Amino acid sequence: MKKKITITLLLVVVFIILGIGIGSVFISPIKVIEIIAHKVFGTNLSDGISVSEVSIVWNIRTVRTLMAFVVGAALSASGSAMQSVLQNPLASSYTLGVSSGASVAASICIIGSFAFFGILTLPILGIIFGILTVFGVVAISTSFDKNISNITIVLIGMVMSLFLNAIMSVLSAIFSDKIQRIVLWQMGSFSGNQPIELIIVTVLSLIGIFLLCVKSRELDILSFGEEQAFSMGVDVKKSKWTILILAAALTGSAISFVGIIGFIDLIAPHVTRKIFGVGHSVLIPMSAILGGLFMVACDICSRVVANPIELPVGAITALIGAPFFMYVFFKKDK
Amino acid sequence: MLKIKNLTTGYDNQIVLQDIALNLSLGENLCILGANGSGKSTLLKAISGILKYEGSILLFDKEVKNQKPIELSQKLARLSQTTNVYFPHTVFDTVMLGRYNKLSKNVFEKPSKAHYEYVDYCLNIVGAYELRNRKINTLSGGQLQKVMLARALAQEPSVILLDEPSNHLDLKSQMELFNFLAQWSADKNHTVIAVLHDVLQGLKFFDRIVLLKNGIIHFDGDTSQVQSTKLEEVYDFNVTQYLNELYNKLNQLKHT
Repeated sequence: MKKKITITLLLVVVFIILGIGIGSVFISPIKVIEIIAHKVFGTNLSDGISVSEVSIVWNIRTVRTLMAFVVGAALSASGSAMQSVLQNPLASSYTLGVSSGASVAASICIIGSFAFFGILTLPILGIIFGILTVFGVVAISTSFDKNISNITIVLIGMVMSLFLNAIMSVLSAIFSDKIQRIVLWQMGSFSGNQPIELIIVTVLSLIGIFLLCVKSRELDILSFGEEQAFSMGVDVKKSKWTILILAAALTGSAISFVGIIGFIDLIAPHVTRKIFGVGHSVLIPMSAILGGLFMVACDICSRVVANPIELPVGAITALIGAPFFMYVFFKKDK
Repeated sequence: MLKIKNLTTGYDNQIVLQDIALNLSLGENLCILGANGSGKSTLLKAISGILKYEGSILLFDKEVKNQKPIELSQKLARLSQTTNVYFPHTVFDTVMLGRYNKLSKNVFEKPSKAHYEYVDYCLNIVGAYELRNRKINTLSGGQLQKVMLARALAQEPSVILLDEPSNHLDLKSQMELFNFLAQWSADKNHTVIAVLHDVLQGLKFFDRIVLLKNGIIHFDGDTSQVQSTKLEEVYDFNVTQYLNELYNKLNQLKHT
């Protein structure tokens, strides 16, 4: 186990350095390390490094790559908690429509140029709308089907997403002058984020992931179903809603500055379970780390695949994620 | 130990059980029998605190519905008919979850050695120790039920509730399960309350029988006092004749 964790962490470092180096201008990993060391520890730079390289690494790509990592981590931790609490391997903030809920919030902000809470407006609205959506989906699902089976929740989540997307279309049609920004947000991208945004998302994500870790024992028990969890002493209603709210809030805040990025919260937890097992004390932190890793890799892909054109990273994750979703949905048990 | 009075309960607007009264002392083993829809499982759910109810269910002199799940879980454990395995925990981890109500509140603290030993002890007594490192999705139905029994025992309850525990077990596993539970309750002066479909198992392994019919207790008494007419009334057909026909078939089997 320790070995696996060490390897994963090493991979994270490698991918982050690569992520910072790769792009329209390639900067070698050694230069990247030198520049970061220079900025963080004040070491001297060697002669071959230009001012523009320093600026690209420090001002643009470091923020971008770390943003990708943090968002990936938050989404994946949120996804693994949702899957366990709903005993549903297809549940995630994306399939439950939480992302669409948060994007409606973002559109409203963009349209109205709202900033009630300054820079925190987007994350706060994202959190609120994310939580409202998950309430809606679970409440509607429960009213149709007490056991909240796989199919019900996926269908209701899909209906909810479509409904919220329709609201987005209506909004974009009415406020057509803002349409480009809304569409760009919906596609999801890590380019052009401010350092302060990175700091906000990082702080919120760390809090969210930590709180989910605190719930790891209850998550273990809830993954056996609600009646069994109750008889083992878990206050099911309270735990379930706390976890769902935490997970939705984590997603809502994570995507508030970067737009919709789907499927990573479905894939990373599955892969993590395969490698690290299903106990949540390891699953939650490790799926966060693996999710961050995947996201950095996808972000690299988005810059490299159609170079010099940059693809939306949300498209990359969906291209990989949609077939994966089919695989999980149709594969027989085991 | 268990005192039920004026119990009325059900789902949504449908009343399933009406005006149930039942007293049970520690060490007694109760089997609840009755036709489908008679309210057997509902009674079990009410006792375990899952279901809201009117009236009173006193467990060790405390009202069940006023107790927190964690408090109830230290007195009652429940073994359900089937366990859906959504995520492949290991057998050991699964049984350790039964210790939830005993572990320290700090989730970052590892369970003490005593907890590990108790889990091993529970796995041992149900005969599942050799499975401890297996993933639960690789177990057979019988093995899984043993693991779930070990998890229930890990809660250190004084009462175990069973809802049709033998439905998915082969005959030998059924016998082992009921023998084990009878021994467990006799050794520790603990109580088993089971809902069964198999009348004969009820008669063989339990001291006391409650027959439910349409949400009302039709018979309550020692196993030895159950009359065949009562069974016929509850199941609404000639139970004894049917069981005798089955036994005749069994006796006709060639013994060589």
